[in-house]
Amino acid sequence: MSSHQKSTSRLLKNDIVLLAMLVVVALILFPIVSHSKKPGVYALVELDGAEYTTLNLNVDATLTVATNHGTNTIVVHDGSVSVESADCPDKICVNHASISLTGETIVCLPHKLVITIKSDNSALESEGSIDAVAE
Amino acid sequence: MLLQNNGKKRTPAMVVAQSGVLIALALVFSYVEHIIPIPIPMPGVKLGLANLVTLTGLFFLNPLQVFIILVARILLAGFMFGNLSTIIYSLAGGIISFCLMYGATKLKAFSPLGISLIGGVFHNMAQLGVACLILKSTSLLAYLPVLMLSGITAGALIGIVSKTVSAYVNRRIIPD
Repeated sequence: MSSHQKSTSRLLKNDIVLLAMLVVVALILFPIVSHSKKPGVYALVELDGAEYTTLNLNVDATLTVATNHGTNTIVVHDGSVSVESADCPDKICVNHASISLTGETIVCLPHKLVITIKSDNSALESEGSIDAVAE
Repeated sequence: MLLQNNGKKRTPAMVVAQSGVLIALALVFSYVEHIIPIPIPMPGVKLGLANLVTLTGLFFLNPLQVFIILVARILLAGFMFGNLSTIIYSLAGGIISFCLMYGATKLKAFSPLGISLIGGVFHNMAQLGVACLILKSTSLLAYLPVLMLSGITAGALIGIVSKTVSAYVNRRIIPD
């Protein structure tokens, strides 16, 4: 019985070490992914991995994206972007808080829609292609 | 009785019947989770109640049987409450976390709590990886830390429940 208790406590110690390691990794990743968050300049709307359009954050606008997956209505207001309505099943994009800082995203998985806030130079950095430079 | 026929070899009919019962149980868990969503508007944040069946099963059943229960549950739940894309995400998360949890039980280094942590975290990471592939976008990786923490929390909760359930199953079904 005592050896059983001993092995149980050893396992529990391993569990706690594992838990601590995972939490530390997650906490280290937080600042890495959220680095250089500053107010963005435009919102990049991507459908199925391809650029669909861009929205200037300084101009209030409403855009309805309709595809054969479904419809999302994107609203730009006071420099932040939100999805006002959508006919996707989970409504995660609609419930998502509005985004305004570079790197922030709203994703609608069912409709393969990704909205990402970009600044001017981050477009050149991440796109880095001939197209972006030629533009 | 359900889990072990007191030393006698289990017949195929017993295995099939038992798998059916456990698939039904896992489906009920999926359904409960479907009708009571967690109020965190982020893809992939969930408790994973159905993983309770997979995790606990790994300690008592043939891994192949557990795997079949897992895949059957995902397909059935996907057709009933989801769509093709939810099935793809669930299969990716389910199969990766199953393989890693099975590997972790073989190590004999972790209790159900630790194995559940591994399952929860890698379930979410696998789903995020598939989402990046399907959407062809790496901006989703911004969700990684949040999904890791959500996987840790869900894994810990499910692990604690599984540990409790395992002790009960042990005592009642497989007497010393």
